[in-house]
Amino acid sequence: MSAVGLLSSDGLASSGFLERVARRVDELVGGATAQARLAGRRSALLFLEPSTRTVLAFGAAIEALGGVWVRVDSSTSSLVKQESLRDTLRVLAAQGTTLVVVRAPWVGTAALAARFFDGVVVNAGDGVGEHPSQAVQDACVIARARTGRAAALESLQGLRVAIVGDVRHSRVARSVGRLLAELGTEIVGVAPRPWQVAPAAIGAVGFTDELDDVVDEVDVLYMLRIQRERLGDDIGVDLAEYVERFQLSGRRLDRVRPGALVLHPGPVNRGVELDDVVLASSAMRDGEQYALGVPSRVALLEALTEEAGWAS
Amino acid sequence: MGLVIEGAHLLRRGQLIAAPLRIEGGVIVGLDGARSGDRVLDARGCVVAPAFVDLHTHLRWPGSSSVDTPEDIAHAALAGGFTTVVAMANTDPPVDSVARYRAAHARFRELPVEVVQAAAATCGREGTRPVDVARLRAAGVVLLSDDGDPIARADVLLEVLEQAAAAGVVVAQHASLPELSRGVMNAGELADRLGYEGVPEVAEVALVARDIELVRASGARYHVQHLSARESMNQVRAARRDGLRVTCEVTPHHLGLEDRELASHDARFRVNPPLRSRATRMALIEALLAGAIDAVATDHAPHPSWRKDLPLELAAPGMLGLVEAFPASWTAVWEQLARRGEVSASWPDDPGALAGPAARALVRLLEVLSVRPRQILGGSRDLDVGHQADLVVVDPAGRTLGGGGGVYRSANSPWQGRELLGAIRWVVRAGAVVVEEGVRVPA
Amino acid sequence: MRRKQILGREDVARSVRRMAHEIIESADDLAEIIVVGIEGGGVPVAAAIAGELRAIGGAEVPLLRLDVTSFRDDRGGGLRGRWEPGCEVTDRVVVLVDDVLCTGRTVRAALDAVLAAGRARRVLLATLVDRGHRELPIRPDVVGRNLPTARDEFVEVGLDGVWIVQQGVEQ
Repeated sequence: MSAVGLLSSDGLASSGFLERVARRVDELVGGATAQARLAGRRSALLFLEPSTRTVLAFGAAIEALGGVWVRVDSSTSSLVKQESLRDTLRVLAAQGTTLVVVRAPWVGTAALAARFFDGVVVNAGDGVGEHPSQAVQDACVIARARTGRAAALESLQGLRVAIVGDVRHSRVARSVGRLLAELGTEIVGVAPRPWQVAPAAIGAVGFTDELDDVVDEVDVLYMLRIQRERLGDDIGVDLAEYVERFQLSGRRLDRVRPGALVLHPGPVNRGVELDDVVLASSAMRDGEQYALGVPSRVALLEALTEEAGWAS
Repeated sequence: MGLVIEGAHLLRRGQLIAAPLRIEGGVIVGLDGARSGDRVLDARGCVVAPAFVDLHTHLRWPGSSSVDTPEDIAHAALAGGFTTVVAMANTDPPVDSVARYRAAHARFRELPVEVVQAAAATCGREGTRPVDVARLRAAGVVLLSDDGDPIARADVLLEVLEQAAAAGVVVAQHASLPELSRGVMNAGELADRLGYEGVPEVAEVALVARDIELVRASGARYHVQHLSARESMNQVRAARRDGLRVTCEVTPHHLGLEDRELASHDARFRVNPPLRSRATRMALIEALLAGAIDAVATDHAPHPSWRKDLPLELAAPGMLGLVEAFPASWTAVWEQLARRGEVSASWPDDPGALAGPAARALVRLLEVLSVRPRQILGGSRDLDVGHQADLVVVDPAGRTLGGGGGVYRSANSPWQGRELLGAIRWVVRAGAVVVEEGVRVPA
Repeated sequence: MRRKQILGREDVARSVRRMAHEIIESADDLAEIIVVGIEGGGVPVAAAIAGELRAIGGAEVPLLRLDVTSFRDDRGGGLRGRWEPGCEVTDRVVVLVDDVLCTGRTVRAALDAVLAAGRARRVLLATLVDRGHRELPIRPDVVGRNLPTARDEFVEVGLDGVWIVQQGVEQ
C-alpha cells in the first residue's frame, strides 16, 4: 500500500503541497538544477494508454532527478487479460522499482496501483477520472502568465475560469477545475447538455450551454480537446453545431477581457475547439503550457520524494 | 441426552421471551431447563431465533470458475446463521429445465445446509421465452428468477407471472431497466466527480412500477430482489395496500454501506444494484424497522481476486455477505436507533436487558432473516415444540470482524476489516451444534 | 508590389514548437521518427522541428534533406531520380517537412522518393504554412498556420517570419 502518491488534485492547494511545487517551478525555470532525488532509484512508466508526450515529459523529469526509467505498456506486458495489474506491480517492485507513473484508460487505476505498490504512485491520467499533474502544471501557467511567478498562486483568487467542451469525459476538467476552485477561482462549465455534469465534479458554480454568455466575463478560457469518436447523431452533439456554439473563434476572442488567457491541454484540434486566429493570438498560452511540462513534473516529483523521505 | 440453551431470550411470534429451550432428537421439545446429561449452552445476553433463511445466494454451480465451492459457501452460510439458502439460477448453463434442476438438487443434497434451487424464469435467461413453469413446479421449484438480469420484456414477464400464478410459484425480479443500468455505481454528484457512469434509482423504480401493474393483472406472487431505491419501497407498500402479493428483500450492504465507498475506487464495492446515497440507506433502514421489508437477503456473490483486483469499470459486480449478514444489518439498525436517540449510550458495552425500541428492532431484524423469508418460500420456521431444531443464537452486544473470519476463499467482502456489532455464537442444525463461536463444528 | 508580414519570429517559433508536440503525439516512440526537410524552404523548418523534438525528447532525431526536382511530374524530363536517405527508412515514421504547402505537387514528388527508399511504417506531412489551392488529394497532418491566399500572391517563409507578397500595380 503506497503511502505517498499523487492520485488526485483534491487537497493539493489546501495542504500547501502546490505552493511548494510552484515555488520550485519558478526556481527551475530560472535555471536552478533539480535535486538528484531519484539517483540510484528505478522508476517505471506504466502506460496502459498511449501518450508519447506524457511519457517523454515524465521521463525527462525522472532523468533530471538522476533516475532511470522503464516503460511498461500493454504491448510489453499482457496486462489485464492474463497478468494482472497487481502482478505487474509485484514484478516491478521485485526489480527494485520505487516510483511508478500510471496512465490508463480506466478510472481509478492509479488508486488501484497504490493499493498494490508500496512505493510512490503518480497518476498521469486514469480514464475520465483525474489528471493531477496537468492541473498542477496549469495552475502554475496561469499564475506565471499573470504575475511572472508560479508561486504567486494567491493571484488566482477571484479569477473567473470557463472550462469549455466535453466536460463529462474529461479528466483534465475534473482535476484542473477542482484544483483551481480550491485556489479561489470561480469556475463555470460550458458544454452541450449531454456533456454537462454535476457542477461540483469540476469545482464549478454552474453550467451553461452558451459560450457567448460567458466569453466576455472570464479571465481564463480553458478549452478541452474534443474526441471525434464522441461526436455523432446518437450522442446528441454534432461537429458543426459544436463548432458554431462552442468554438473559441477569432470573433469570440475579440470580446474577451484584456489579459484573458486561453489554455488547452493539447494537442489542439485545429478548427474544432479553436480556430487559427485564436491559435495565433497572444492570448493563447499553450506555449507556456508546453514550456512548464517538464519543470512542473520535476518539481512534483521532488516534492513527492521529499514526502517519501528519499534523500538526495 | 439433549441440548439446552439457557439464559437467553427466545424469539417467538414477534416477542422476546426469557426462557430456556430444550432440544432432543433433532427437534425442539420444550421451553424447559436442563436435565442431567444434557449439554448446556450458556447463552446469557443472547437471543435465540429460528435459523436464518437466505433468499438470494449464488452457489455458482454448475459452471463458473469460482474459488468458493458450494461446500465453501454452505460453510459460510452456517457461520452466518443460515441453514437454508436459495440458490440463484444464473449458472452456466442456467438452471432453466427440470433436468438441470434435478442435477442441481442432487449436487446440493449432501451439503450441510438446505438448498432451495431457484429456476430461471426464461429459457437460457435470455428473456424471450418463458420456461415451462408447471413442469418445474411439479419437479419441486418454488421460486423463479432470471437474477443477474431482469425479465425486461413486459409480454414475457406477463406470461411468466400468469404461469406462476397458476402454478403457485413466486416470481423474483432483479429489477433494473437494462437501458439505464449501464453504469458502475449510483448516479449522482459523486459519480460525476469520480468520472464513473452512474445507475439512477429510477432504473429500479420504473421497472418495479411497471411490474406491479403486471402483477395486478395476473394475480401472481412477486418478489423484488435486492431492493435498493427509496421509491421502490413506496411502490411495494402501495401494492401491498392494494392487496397484491408483493414482497421484497434488501441486502445487508444496502443497509450498511453508501455510494461514497466508491471514492476508494475499490471494486469490492461494485455491485448491482449499486450502493446508494445516505438518504436512501436511512429510508431503507426505517422501512425495515417499520416492518415494510420482508427479508434481508445477502445476494452472496463470490468472485476470484482476478475479477475484483481490477479498475472498477472492468471488475465483476457482486459482494460476499453470508457470514456478516446479521452483524452488518444489526450495526446499521443500531446506528439508526442511536441517531434517533432511542438507545442508551452505554449499551452495548454495558449490556443490560435489551429493551424498548432496541428490542423491537432486533425482533424485526431477526424475523426478516428467518421467519418471513421462510414464509415466502412456503412453510414456517418457529421456535415451537415439535419443529426441527434449526436455530441461531446471536449476541446483539457481541462484535464481529468483517471479512469472513477465514471462512471465505474469495476476497470480495465489503466488510473486510470493519468491526461490526453483533455476533453469531451458536448455530444448531437438526438439533446438532454445527457452529460454535464462529468455528465450524465437524459433524 | 506589397509585402505584408503575417507572422513574426516569435510566432514562427511558437508554431514550430506546437508542430513538434503534435508530431510526437502521432508517434508511439520518438526513436522511430525521421525528419525529412524538402529541399528549399523545408530544410530550415525541418531543422527547427528536429531541434524542438530533441529538446522535448532528449534524444537526437535523424534530420535528412530531400531534393525532389528529379521527382516532380510537372517539370518535364522523365528522368527518375533516386533519393539516398543515408539511414534506414523501413519501419520508421517519416515526417516530411515543407515550408509552404500549395498545389501538393512537391509533396507528391517527395512521397514518391520516400516510398522508393524503403517501406516506412508511416509518413506524416508537416508544413509551416498551408496556402490552400490543392491540385492533388494531399492533406497535411501537422500545420503551423493556415494562410488562405490568392493564387497570384507569393508567400515568403523563413524562421524569422512569414510574409504575403502581392504582385500588382501600386495605386
